[in-house]
Parts: sequence; C-alpha cells; structure tokens
Amino acid sequence: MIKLENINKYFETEEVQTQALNNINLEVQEGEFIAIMGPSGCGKSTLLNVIGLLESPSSGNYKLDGEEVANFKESQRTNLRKGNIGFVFQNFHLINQLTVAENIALPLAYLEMSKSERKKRIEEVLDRLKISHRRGHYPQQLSGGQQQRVGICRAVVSNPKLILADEPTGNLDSKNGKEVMELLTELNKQGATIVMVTHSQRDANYAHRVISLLDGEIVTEVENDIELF
Amino acid sequence: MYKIYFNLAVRNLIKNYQNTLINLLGLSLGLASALFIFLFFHLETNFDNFYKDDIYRITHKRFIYGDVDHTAQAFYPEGGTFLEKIENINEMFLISNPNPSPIYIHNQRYADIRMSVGSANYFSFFGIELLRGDAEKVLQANNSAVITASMAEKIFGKADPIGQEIELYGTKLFIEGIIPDRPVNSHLQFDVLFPEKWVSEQNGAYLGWNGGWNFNVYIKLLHEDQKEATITAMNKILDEVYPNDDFSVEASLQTIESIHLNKGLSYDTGNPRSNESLWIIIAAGCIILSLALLNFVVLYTAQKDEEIHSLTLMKIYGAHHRDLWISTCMEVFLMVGIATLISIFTLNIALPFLNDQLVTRVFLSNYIPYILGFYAIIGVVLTMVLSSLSLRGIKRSSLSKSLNGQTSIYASKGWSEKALLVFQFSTVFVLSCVGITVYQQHYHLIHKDLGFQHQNVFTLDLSTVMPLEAQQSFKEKILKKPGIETVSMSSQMIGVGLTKNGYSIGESERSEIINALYVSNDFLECFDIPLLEGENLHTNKTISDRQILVNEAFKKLEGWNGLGTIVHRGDRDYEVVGVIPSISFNSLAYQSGPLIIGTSARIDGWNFDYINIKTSSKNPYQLANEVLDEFQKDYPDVRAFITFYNDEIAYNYNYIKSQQQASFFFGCIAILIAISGLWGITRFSVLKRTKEMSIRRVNGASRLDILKLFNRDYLQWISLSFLLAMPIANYFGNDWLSAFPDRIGIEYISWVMMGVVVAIISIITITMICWKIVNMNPSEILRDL
Repeated sequence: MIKLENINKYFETEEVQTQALNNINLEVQEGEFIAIMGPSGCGKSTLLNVIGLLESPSSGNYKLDGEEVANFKESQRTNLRKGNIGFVFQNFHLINQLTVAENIALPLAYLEMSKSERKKRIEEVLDRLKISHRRGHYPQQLSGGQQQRVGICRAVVSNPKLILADEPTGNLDSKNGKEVMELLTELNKQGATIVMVTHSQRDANYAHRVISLLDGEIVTEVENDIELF
Repeated sequence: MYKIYFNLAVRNLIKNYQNTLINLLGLSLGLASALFIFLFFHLETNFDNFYKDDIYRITHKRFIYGDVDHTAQAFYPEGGTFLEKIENINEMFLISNPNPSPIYIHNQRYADIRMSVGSANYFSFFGIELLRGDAEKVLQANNSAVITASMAEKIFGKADPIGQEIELYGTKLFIEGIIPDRPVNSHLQFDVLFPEKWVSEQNGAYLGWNGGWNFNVYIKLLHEDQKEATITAMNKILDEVYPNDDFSVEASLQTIESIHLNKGLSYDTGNPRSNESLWIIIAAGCIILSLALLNFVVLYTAQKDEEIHSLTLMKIYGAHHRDLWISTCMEVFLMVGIATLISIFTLNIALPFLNDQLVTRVFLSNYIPYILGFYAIIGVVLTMVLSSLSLRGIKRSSLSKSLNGQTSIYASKGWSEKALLVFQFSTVFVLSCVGITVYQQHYHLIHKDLGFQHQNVFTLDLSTVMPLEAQQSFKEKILKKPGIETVSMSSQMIGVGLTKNGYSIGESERSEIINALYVSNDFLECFDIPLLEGENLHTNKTISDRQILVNEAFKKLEGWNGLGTIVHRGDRDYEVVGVIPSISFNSLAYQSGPLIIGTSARIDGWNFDYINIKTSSKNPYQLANEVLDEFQKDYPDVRAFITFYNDEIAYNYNYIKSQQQASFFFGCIAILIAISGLWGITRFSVLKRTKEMSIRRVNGASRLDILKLFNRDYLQWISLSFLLAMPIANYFGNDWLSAFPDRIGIEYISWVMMGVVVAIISIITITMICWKIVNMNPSEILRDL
C-alpha cells in the first residue's frame, strides 16, 4: 500500500540545513499495523507526516496504492488525504469551538455525502467507541482518554484505508492508553492499515512490525509474532 | 459543511468575546465615520447640480481706498441695469441673504426664521413649482410672502397658512404661497421669501449704487460662448457707475454649482465651505477610519493567527484553501454585518450633532442606495482582505508546522503592531493637543476683558421704531426701579459688530470707512467705558448731535489733529470731543479698528433700537422680565424682547465652540479606538508572551517586575508617539490660532499634562490585562503550554 524509496527530507534555516530523513526505504502492506520507534529528533514524526502527505519529501519516491505522490501539489495531496487517511495525534488536536459530534463530522464535511449518511456514520463511530453520551459536549469538558477517543472517531469516521497515529497514548495514563491501543488494534482487525509513531515498547508490541529510526535512518525492522489480519 | 463554518464563526466570536467587542467597537466607529465622510463628501461636492439651465451668480472685487474686498453682494440697481443693457443676459433674479429676523405671527415672536427678499420671478427662474398659490401672482404685491412647507407646518400646524399675517419690522405681510423645501444641497435656503417691492416701501431704505440693501444677483445667458463678452460689458457699466479710483468694482461670474465650495467672499449667502475645511474634515474622518480599520485588521488577523490550529485541522481532513477561505469569509462577514448595524445605529444618533457642528445637512434617508452600495463595497473589500491575511500563516507553512504552532508569524517581533500603536497614539495626541488649544482659546475669548462692562447688562431690543421722547420717559421711569443702575440707548449692540460709514478727517482728502455707533450721552457710564481724553458727549442733544467720541485706534488715521479735529460726513461736520480706549466692539474674533460714537442717529437714518440697562440685582433675569412686562404695558404697540449682552457676546464665539465640540468629539473617538487598540494589542502580546512571563517568574521575577517590563515596553512607544505628535500639533495649533487677532500662546504644559493622563490610562489598561496571567501559578502555565 505504501512504498517509500530513497526518501530524504531536509529542513533549512538561513544558516543550517538539517536532514530529518535519510534515504528511507519502507513498504507497508494493506492491513498491516506498524510501529515506528526511536529517540526524540530521530525523524519519526517527519516520516509520519511524509506518509500522511502533510509534508513533501525533499527527494525520493513515494507510491501510495501504486500512485506516485511525492511531487503532488497541495490541492492533489488534499484530495488524496480526503477520506483516505485518518490522523490520530498525541495532543488530540480537537477544535475547541466544536462539539464532539461536530469534530467527528469534520472529515465528512469535505466528502460529498448526504446529510443522513453523515449522521449515520457519526452515530456508528460514537457507538463503536462508546462516547455517544458525550456527543454534545465540547473537548474541554472531556477527560484526556475521552478526547483521544473522539480523535480516533474523527480518524475513522470516513472509513480511511490508512490511519496514522502520532504517539496516540503519549498524553494518557496507562489505563486510557491501553484502551486506545485496543481500539486501534480493533480497527486494524477490521481492515485499516495503521502506521503509529510511539516511544512506548508496550504500545509497539501491538504492531505487526516495529521499525526503529536513528538520525533519520531506519536502523532495525523487527516483526512481532502477531498474525496479520 | 457551511453549517460547521457558520457554527465555528459564531462560536469563535463568542469565545473571543473581548476581541470581538474591541473589534466591533473599533469597526463600528470606523464604518460610521467612513459612511459619514462619504455622504458628507458626496453632499458637499454636489451642491446646486439639479438645475436645468446654466445659472451664474455675479461676484465682485470691490476696490475701496486701496483695500480689496471679494463679495457676491451687489447693490440693488446692478442686476436690473445689467438685464436692461446687456443683450446676452436672458434672465435675472436677485435675492438678499437669508437673515434670521424677528417676526411676529399671532402675537408670538419667532426669532430664528430665515427671511429673504427676492424678485418675483423666483419660481420661473429656478423652475420651482408652488405647492399652494399661483406662481404668476405671488410676490407681486409689496405685502406678499411665500413660506416653505416645513416652516408652514412648524408655525401653523394643521391650520391653512394661506392668508396668514406675518409682522416684520412693524409692517404686515400675507402668505400667498407655499413652496417645497429647498433640497439640502441647495445653497439658497430660506424659510420665508418676501418681495423686493417691500424694501422700496421702507422708510429710509437706500436702493442706490453706493450702498444700502445688498443682493445676490443670478443670471442666465442667451449664448454661453459669449460669457467673457458679457463680463466685459458688465465691467464697462460698472466703470461708468464708479469712475472714481477710490471706489471701483470689477464683476465676474461664478457657476451656481461652484458657490458652495467657494468660501472667501465676504457676507456670502448660505454656509459656503472652503475647500480647505472640507479636506480637513475628510482627513480627520479618514484618519479615524484608518485607525479603526488598521486596528481591526491587525487584531483580527492576530486572533486568526491564534486559531491557525483549527484551520490546519480542517485542511488535514480534506479542506482545500478555498474552503478555509469561505469559512473565514463567513466569520468576517458576520462581524462586518454586526458592525454595519451598530454603525448605522450609532451614526443615526450622532448625525444631528455632526450636522450641527460641521454645518452640514447629511440625512441617512436621502442616501439609501449609496449607503447600501457603500456597505457592500466595504464589506466585500474587508472580507477579501481579512480572509487573505488571516490565512497567510497556513499558506506559508507546512501543515505539520502549522499544527504545532511553528509558523513564522508567531516568531515575528510584532513591528506592525508597534507601528499601529505609534500611529494611533500620535493621532490621539495631535487631536487632543489641538483640541486643548481650541478650548483654551475659546475660554480666553469668552473671559477676556473687552474694554467695557457687559456683565449684568441687558437690553430691550425694539423691533418697531419708538419715539425718542417715549424712550426717554421709559428710561426715567425704570431708573427708579430697585436694582437698576444705569439706562442708555444705542443704535446697535456693542461687542457683536457695528455698521460702517464713510468719513473724511480734518484736512485729509482721503475718505475712510469707519465703524459708527449712535448712543445716548450716558452710554459710557452704562458700560463703564473710561474717557482717556477730553469730555463726554453733551447732555443737550442739539449740541451733542455735532459732537463725536473716537477710540485710540482712530488717532492713527490721516487727518487726526487731536481733540477738536473735525470729522466730515456728507455735508455735516462733527467735532471730536473725547477719546476712549480701543474697546473690542466687534468681538475678539475680529480686529476692531477705529470707532466713532455720536448721538445723531436719526440724521444718518438710524434709530435707538436698543435700551441698555445695567443692573445690580441678584436676579437679573427676573428683573429683565419685570422691565419687559412694564414696557409692554406702557407701549403695547412696540415689539420688544430681552437680550443679555453676555449671551449675545458668547454667541459670537459659537463657531469656535462648535469647532471645540467637534474636535472633542473626534478626539474622544480617536482615544476610544486607540485605547481599544492598545487593549487588543497588549492582550495578544501578553498571550504570546505567557510562556516568557512564566519562565521569568520561575527564575525569580516578581509580579511587579513583570508589570514594569510590559508597561515599559509599551510606554516607550507611546512616548515616541508623543514626541512625533508634538511638532504636528504645534504646527496645526499655531496655524489655527493665527486667524485670531487676539489669541493665546500655546500652553505646552497642558499638552504634557494630557500626555501624562493618556500614559496613566495606558498603564491601567496594560496592568489590567497582565494582572490575571501575572497572578497565575507559573508552573500551571508551563505545564499547559
């Protein structure tokens, strides 16, 4: 599903050029759940952003579902993201001025979908993630765990093929963190491809494959003994 | 999708209610100012543009003994003579300046009705149709009058005005027609028009080529291409009428459309406005508008910079830039819509005041299509500009950076905000300093010693001629009344401007135009005017009618040879018997110059229309009413009313008071916008620097240290504004003062005091905003960031 070939990413300031990704080659199969690990500043989040089309690589090839997307324009990237990629963030990144239901509805707003279908989808994910009773609340009225559930709802409401999670348990206690990981695993079982950045070995154990980065390079790839669904 | 945008827009406005209120306040004031300026400009530049024919008014350059006077005023015979002798003049109409003359209707006095004398062809000349009456017949008889519809309704209500009687200077006129109110953009405004024939019926009315009644003369030409030849022909006639070089007149023509914006003609009709004052008002409005708009743009975009997170999320989940733009547009449009309603409401309330102070007649109901167009244009432009500016952050940076708040706009030093602060406060200081100077000059003029006593002096203003003997008899009667100290008579009120006559002095062959006042011989005592040389006018009127008093300025004239100098007027000679100080008989706003005081009123066609009464009563207003009651009881046929000298003299300076109130009004708006701008800018700055404040607190800074830091940061910019504003305020202050012969010097200490007050308000504002964050636990803030 994802094929990265010789991906490099540089960040430049007036004085310094920093290489965030160095010759990354990576393939992710459909339905796979992979975890990316590594110390701070090793390029994990940058890699996730490139995969999620939030950043363009400085060089290299990126094929998503067989289509070369590395040099896509912003509008093309937006169209590709729309309905195909869901994002889960460490800081949840919910819009404080919108209710839970409205936050979840955000990805659907840009898909040509009937109002009834939108409503149905939102109800489904709210039920699935057991936060229906919170649909009218605002993010600041929820606990961290509940906020991340909403974040996951938003990521999956459009039934994307790919879910990208950037340290999804980073701001949660262990109990809530475990719940979130179980949710992601459940989604993966239902067919979603998941790429997750994490610092936690425990969370990485939920993945089929763990990729370790150091200074922008893949240093190891370890397969967990988990059956691919 | 649009529902989410709308919800987001409404909730953003509610969430940021402080910014919303500041923005709405500034934007509403700005829009109201802009709308007013737009309509004001439109009105002022479109005067008298509705006539079918080309109409000209005759203007004159009068050369009087070396002085040049520019005026549109023509002596009575001029228009008729030109029409008769110059073939290219097709039609002519003459009208006197509208004069607020006291008239009586059903025994009730109306003091502020504008009366004009005009020729009977008014309706055909200007193409005006009468609402009531026959245009062919009205103004033909010498006692005919027409009245405007609004004034007829004001005076007579539902009663029929036709046939109603108006008493003017003791003569009776009858309303024969009702005319529609003149458009607000006509310079020819009056309430009642009565015929030129009425003038010729007045005793002693001079209607010759050498003075007397003045008229504005309007003409239409047969052939426009012969305009220059017509002017030449007019001047040829004038050269024949005035062959003497001491007094000559040169005529020219001005189009009727150009009259309003052609100030500079003495004693002009209506309220002509100079181009200069038009642009000053427009500049003041534009400055306020730019202050408000800049405030709005800077504060709103700063607010949107804070909301970049929401916009980024929308984009991550599939929103194109166009979608974000629509979302932002909706929010801006909502804000502009609310501000529009507030601005219309505010302007509607402020309009009477603005119209009054700026002597204009802007009415919103007259310009509904313009107003809609104006708001549509401003709304669209603001929406486009703000939406583009608000999205600049997300356009410049990658989505991941925007999401984490790492856009370059957060790292800026805020130079645009600092520049805005300096611009705002410089404007505030200039407006306030000039406003203070206007106030001080007005105070000075009101309270300055005019050289005569006018406190507790009131006058019985007689609208009908009264025999001198009767006046004398009434004088002796009321002198017995407790509280009345002195009574004297005069032809005019001193201190508000006097008439001028032509004289020659001593052996000099030169003629002088000199202010003259006719009084009874106890006038000096009544007004506590000291005699510097010689003696007062004789108590025997036969003797005093050959005597005059002069002021010190008179002594500088050619021909002066000390006391006993003979002054000639026509075939009469007057002996100077005394000299008084140079009192301010024309108010302090104008140079007073030489003055002649005599008793021979009737000889020069004047009457003693004023019985001046000096009182020591503690309740002068009650005493004045008692005197009036007594007078009306004794002389029921003589129309009279009471005027206090203090009120009348203060009326001289009303235009300065208007300027003072207008500068105060605009100054207050500027201060309000500037302080709201300071509030908004400081608030955003504090929010941006919350982390810095917390780190400083963790590292040992006290609350006071933090407050000092912020106050110092802003006060240095406010101080810079003060320094920048001073030379500008100094220039405008001195320029304005230079128009007054009697003026104050600028009191810089009051400007500094005003600067201190603004600084204190600023410190309070900054401290209030910083206070909450300064008092929060710094560890909580750092944890949340």
